Amino acid sequence: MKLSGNQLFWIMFCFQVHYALMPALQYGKQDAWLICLLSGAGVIAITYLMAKVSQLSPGDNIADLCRKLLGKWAGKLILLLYIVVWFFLTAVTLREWVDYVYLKLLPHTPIPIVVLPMSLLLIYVNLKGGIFAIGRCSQIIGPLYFLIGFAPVLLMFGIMDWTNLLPIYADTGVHQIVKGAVPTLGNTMGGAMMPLMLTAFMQQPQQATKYAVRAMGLSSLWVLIAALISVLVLGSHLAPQLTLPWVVSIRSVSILNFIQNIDAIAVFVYSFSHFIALSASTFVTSYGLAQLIHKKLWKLMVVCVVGLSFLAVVLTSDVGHITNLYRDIIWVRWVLPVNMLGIPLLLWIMGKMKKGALQ
Amino acid sequence: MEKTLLSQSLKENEQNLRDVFHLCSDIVFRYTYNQGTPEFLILYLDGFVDMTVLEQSILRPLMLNRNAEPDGMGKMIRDSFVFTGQTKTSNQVKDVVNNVLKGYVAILTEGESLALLADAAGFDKRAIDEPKTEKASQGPRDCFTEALRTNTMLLRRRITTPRLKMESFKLGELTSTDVVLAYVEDIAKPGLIEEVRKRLKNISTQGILDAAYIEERIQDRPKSPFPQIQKTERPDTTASSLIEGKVAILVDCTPTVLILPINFWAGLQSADDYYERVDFVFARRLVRYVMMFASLTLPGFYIALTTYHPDLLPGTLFISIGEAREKSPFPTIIEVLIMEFVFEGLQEAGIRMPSQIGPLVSIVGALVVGQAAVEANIVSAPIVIVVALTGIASFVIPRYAFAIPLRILRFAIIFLAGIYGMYGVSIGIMAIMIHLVTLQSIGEPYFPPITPLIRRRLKEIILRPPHWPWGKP
Repeated sequence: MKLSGNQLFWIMFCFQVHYALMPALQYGKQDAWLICLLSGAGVIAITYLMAKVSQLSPGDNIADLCRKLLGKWAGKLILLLYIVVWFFLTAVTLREWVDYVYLKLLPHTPIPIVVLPMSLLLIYVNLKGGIFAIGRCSQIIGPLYFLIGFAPVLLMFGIMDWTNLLPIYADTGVHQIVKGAVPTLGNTMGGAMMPLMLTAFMQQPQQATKYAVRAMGLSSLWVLIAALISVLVLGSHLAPQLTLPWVVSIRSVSILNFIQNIDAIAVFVYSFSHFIALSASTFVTSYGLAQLIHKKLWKLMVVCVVGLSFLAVVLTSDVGHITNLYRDIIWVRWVLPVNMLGIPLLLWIMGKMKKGALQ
Repeated sequence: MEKTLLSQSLKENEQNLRDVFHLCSDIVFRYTYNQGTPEFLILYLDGFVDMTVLEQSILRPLMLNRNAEPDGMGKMIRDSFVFTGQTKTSNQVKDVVNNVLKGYVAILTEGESLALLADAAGFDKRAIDEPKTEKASQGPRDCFTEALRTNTMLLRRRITTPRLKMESFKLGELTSTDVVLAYVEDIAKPGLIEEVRKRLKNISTQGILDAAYIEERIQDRPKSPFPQIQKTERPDTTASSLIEGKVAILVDCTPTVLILPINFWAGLQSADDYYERVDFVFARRLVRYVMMFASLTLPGFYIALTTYHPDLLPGTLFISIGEAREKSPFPTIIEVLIMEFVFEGLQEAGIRMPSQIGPLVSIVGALVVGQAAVEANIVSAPIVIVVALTGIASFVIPRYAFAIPLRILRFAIIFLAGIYGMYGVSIGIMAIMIHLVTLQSIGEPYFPPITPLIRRRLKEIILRPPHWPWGKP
């Protein structure tokens, strides 16, 4: 079994979560869409770089690549850097999801009970079919997610106030836009690192760039539309203060007194896309960890990674909303310059120079 | 068996065979005499042999042709005196025994260590009937029967080409059941045929009494609730599957034929989809898909919405449900479980009960379970509606075997919804989805064309598969 381009596309697309709206709205208010435009361009550029790096040596993932280019120990160190980031990505996404379920759906249920079924699913899908099962699930969930994501846009035309967008640019300015684009970029980056690990599993690795860039392009476009609509529906003062402005916007749809509260359906479908994001990041973390320690141990690693994420979520559950903290302190300061730009660029340049070592 | 080869002495052979068939009262040993000396020994199973054939085509010529040469008697009878369609000779005791058990007549003669076996099988069998479990509003009305030859005939009548191959197997130590592997050469993939052949040969068992015995032994994941092999009793469905490149397994004494490999959607398609107009089939399939989903999740959604997220229901609807629920003594999930259980019980009763008291059970079911229970405020009316709708939904699914996993998994979804509400329902659906995408039917994925994605076949799911794929495999 091999991963097809289409499956890579949907896995990466499902990584897109709506929390990315928050920094854009906070910094940009009615000009949030400009920030999204800028950060979208950034995401596409980084995704392109990642995809190119992943294709340096066909059939090799980041672990093999690092080993071939940098030698055994330096390679392991670099891999460890990524594994730590991926683990954080898994834990924080799980935490975000659990917060969401806890607040929106199950306010009286203890946190461990909420996390448990999702953790079991993550173990189940990874042990049963690994990335191929995840790829296949994403082919069902992805299009569904896409439809449910975009359909409310059509329903909301009636409640949009286009004057909410004014004045364009005048209030914000270049400085503020760039300042907002960086954290927004940080939040939308989850999927961009996937090709580093997943391209090696693909049937036609040379197609990875095409599908990766398309996936991140489409999801950036979506973030942009969601930002735009949140402002149009809720106004530039209310939208930035909400945790989930997009969901609140959907909630305000009411047609014929019957089509209403469709955010419930949205929540339903979001749980599916979260599942894809979580299982894919669990897979890359545990597979990378297994390559670091011993390749045969990867099923054990899945259980360990999920177990540790479970613990992390349960232990941090009363710390409040950690996403912003995590984004500002870890992601923007460390991950973005080191894992997103520094190492890939280094690998890419070395790969071009040491072509012989990769053969 | 003491002796494996026939001897030249008729007496010895008779003794040997009588030992083999010791205490079998349905075996008949018949001698014909020529001037007082035994000439032929005729051996057959009573009830297995068409008496007219035996009398007119075997006994009559043998007894009337008295002047045959003693030399080469076997050849003489085979060539000139036995007027049946199939004959063969053997010198093995085992062959004689096995063929007699299949309805052959064995003819032995003095001085020859060969037995002539003539096909005179004519046991009683059921006539070709209408399909009972796979009803269709249009299309052919014939149905497979228990007789293997009738079934192969029904297929041959539809696909008249020598490329339709019917490989024969014998399975089961005691039953030595005839099993036929049918496929159309050059359309079915050679790898698939080889795989099925291998799996059939690997079966070792005492007996095969139904196609299900084979199904369980050759499917990829026996523990999965979802059928990975389609069972059908319709020759037209089988023929169209063969033309699509699938493989069919016909089993003697079974009116069901196994078709493999199948995918998820095969369970939701009916034979008359091919005989109705495309637009109508489109609408009908939409109904089926929605009902399939409802059959799995409706009680779960009801529990989740009424107990966890009442704010998601339109206000007036919630008020009506709340009013109806007010007097009910049980929590919603217990109510749903009780009613679902009762409904399953009614279904089971419906299969078992004699047809004379059928109306009685439906009256009792409708009255006691429906009206009286609601009026006595033991269960609330919405639950009855939900359970009834779910029941109807599961009967919309055209293939019985495919409705079963949904019926079982419905209970899992009910429990999850009781614990987690909507979140539980989505967890349940995801778990089922993971199972389905990793499931395989004879090595083929279970969920195409959605995943793995096959773009040109996507429309087949919603539209009736148009007839074009038949031309181009």
